[in-house]
Amino acid sequence: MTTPRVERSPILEQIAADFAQRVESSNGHANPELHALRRQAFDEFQRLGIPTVRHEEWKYTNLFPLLAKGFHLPPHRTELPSLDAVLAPLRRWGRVVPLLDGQLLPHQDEPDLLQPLSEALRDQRWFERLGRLAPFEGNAIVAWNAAFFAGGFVLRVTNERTEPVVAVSVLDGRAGNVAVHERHLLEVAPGASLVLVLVQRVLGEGEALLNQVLEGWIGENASLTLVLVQDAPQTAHAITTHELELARSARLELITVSIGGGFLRNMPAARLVGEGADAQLYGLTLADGSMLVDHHTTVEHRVAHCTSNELYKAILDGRSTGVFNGKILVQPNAQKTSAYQANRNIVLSSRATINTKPQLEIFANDVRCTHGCTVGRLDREALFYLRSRGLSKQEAEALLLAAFAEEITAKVPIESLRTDLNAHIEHLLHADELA
Amino acid sequence: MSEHVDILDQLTASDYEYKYGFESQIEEEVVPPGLNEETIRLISEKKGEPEWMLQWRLQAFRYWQTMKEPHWANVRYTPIDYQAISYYAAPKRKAQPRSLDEVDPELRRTFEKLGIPLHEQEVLAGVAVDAVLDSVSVATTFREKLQSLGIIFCSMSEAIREYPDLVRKYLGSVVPPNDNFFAALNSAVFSDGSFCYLPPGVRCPIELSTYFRINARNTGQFERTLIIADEGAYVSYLEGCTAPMRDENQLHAAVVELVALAGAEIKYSTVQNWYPGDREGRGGIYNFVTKRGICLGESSKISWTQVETGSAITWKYPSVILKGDNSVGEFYSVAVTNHRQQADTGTKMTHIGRNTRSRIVSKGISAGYSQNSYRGLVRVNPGADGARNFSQCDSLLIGDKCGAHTFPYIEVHNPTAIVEHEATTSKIGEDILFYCNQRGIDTETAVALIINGYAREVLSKLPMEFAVEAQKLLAISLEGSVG
Repeated sequence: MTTPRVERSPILEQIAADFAQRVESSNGHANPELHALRRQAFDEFQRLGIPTVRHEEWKYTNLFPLLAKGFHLPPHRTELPSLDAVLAPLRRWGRVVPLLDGQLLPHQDEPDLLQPLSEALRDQRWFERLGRLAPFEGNAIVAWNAAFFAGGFVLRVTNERTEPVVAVSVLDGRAGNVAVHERHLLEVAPGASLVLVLVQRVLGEGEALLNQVLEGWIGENASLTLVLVQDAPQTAHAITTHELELARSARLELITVSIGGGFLRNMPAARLVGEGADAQLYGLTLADGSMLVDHHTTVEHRVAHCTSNELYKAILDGRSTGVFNGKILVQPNAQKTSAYQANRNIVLSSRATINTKPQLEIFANDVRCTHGCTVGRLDREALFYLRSRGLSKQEAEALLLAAFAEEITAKVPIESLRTDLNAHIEHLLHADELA
Repeated sequence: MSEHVDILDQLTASDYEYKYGFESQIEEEVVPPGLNEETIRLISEKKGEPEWMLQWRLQAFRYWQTMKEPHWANVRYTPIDYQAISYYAAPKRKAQPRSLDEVDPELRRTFEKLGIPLHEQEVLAGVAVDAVLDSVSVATTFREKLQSLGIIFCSMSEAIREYPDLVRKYLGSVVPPNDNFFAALNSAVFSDGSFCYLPPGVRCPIELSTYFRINARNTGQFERTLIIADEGAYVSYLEGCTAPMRDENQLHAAVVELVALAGAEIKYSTVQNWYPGDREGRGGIYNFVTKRGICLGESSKISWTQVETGSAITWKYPSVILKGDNSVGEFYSVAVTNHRQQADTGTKMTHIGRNTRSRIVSKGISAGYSQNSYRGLVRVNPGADGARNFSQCDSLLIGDKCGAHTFPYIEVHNPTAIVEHEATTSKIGEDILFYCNQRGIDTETAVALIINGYAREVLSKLPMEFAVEAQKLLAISLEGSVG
């Protein structure tokens, strides 16, 4: 990664002031090692600066207009707001685990399953894992997170878990714009399986930026389904880094549904380090207004005999921008790799933009790697067919778009969630029609 | 399986003989190494250029001084010392040769070794050759015939003297002097190149050709080509390149500009087989070229075809700016890398006009320890209603030490655009090799056969004379890796 140009800006100064006030002043007596790590991370963050559009990975995604809104770290709180209204609709999806401004709240406890990060980090085994998959060196976003993270959870699954875990990141924007740095560690033990849903909610009128870093280990023959639901209103912004390592014969299904929010940048990475591992990545973008949805995926084949598949779809309307950068990396010796990637985009408005860059970097020869990418509009023939059957233009378009989107939502293994998402998508498509 | 690997290893071990590794013993006039305003004044003076040209060069030099060498490409090389390069080398001669007989016999032997005997081509192939040997155009054939049609085909220095209006109007209009680091360098120091102008409605009856060749030690070659096809004109232009064997790396930073007015068509074909360096990656040409065409008028067409087999480092992106409505851009490429060669090549298609179409077919073949990257951009501007693009980039890997990479950028700002991109990376299928073996074709021949078939889509776009040479080159380049 090239060193980005460091921008001296009021934004960076604000962050430095926050660091001095929040982190430096805390003496770090609770966990001196962690304190030292935060300082290193902050030094790295200052060295790198906030990535600008001159940085290859941020070419199409400008962070500065977002950060110029001015985000502050959440204030220390004395009392908990009631989250029932926010959490109730999510309970149908699975076991709800609420986090308020990064802090894990009391929930229907399963102590073996879930621990607050701060507690778990006192255990050397977990502490050592912090940053192993997502090191802050050379990565400004992770460094920023490592310097500031307020909390998060450590989730360890040892059995075949049937009930999905729904982690809800609630950001409190009632006192103004807030930035929350969440850090999660996840382990799916050999042979175990888990369905994890990550979702974001914002309280109040302020805008909220979530910088979420998750490091996950999927053990031998274990399986993880990670569903990232981004359906919040325009005031919710997120930068997510999900680093997942797959051991022998491990399986990963990552489904990202980005149908709401303001600025969304997702950087999932699947590292296949054990033979026979399989990663499936799916993504759906439905953007309108001034939304920006950026999916930067990495699939790295480090060993032989692994398979991966990616399908990302986007529907862009209004002044929205969609970005897709799908990197497939096949390291030397990762022979017999089979990697597929497809990216399909529909642009509905003349002011919407799609920037896509499917990228293959291949260092082994006995491989089968393909990627395909299309940008276009709705099939005229299909539209004509539907209209000849008596559907209005709007109805016909909404129907075709819903079908386009459903290919991704159909991958969601939780029925109630799938239904909710489809209903939400349909609502969005029809709301557009009325406008 | 293991048997195939053995054969491949065995073949990779044998050295790839660079067929064109010889040096012409011609007296040359070389300017001492170094780059400053004085050098530029000297070049301009030696070429007897008018004042405006000198100022143009100096302006470019000042741009260049403010620019940094770009490093975003997926290639690694030892840094270039721009002060160690000699910026001008011209064969010494008594007077302007009037016919081929007056050309230095040694020089003509050089071309004969290259397989392009001028008179033979004149008679047999009907190709007009503007041969550029170390920057100065040596002989231009078929001039008169072309002149009778109103076609101007001459060296750039001549054009500057004789057609200043055309040159001033179009030089730098597609690749401005401050476009990029290497274009600025070229604009400041270019020594010669080809100039071609086709008047309205003229269809050039023969294929025009320039044979570039870098000869002297430590001289960078900076040619500048400008082709203008006026309304409704058509031209097919061939460019071939070879360089003798050298130990030091030589820099080549050319600029090619194409301008197609309404209804015009330019077909530009390149076969590049400059010295790629030896098996360990010593020596070889640094080929950092800026090639760009603009479809200025309605329904114009520019087509790039390239076969890249040489150069230690290739870094070029022949591009088309589709400005006129209904204009068409094409890019067909075969890039072969072997041993320690590195290639980062592709194209840029910028759709500005309505109903513009572009098509990209790129075939990469990597062998040995080489790295081969496709890097392309398809951009559809907001006003480009009905734009259409299809891109296909395939990579073939031979051996497990090489790399193949694809970096396609697609930027669409218009809802009516249809853009498709597909890419595959694979090796030659065991089953296909087995099928050939079973029919009595040995592995080496089978691989050559498969590669030829793989590249056919591009080779078929080349003019006939070139297609034959290109096929041979493919075979030579991969000699010592497969066949």
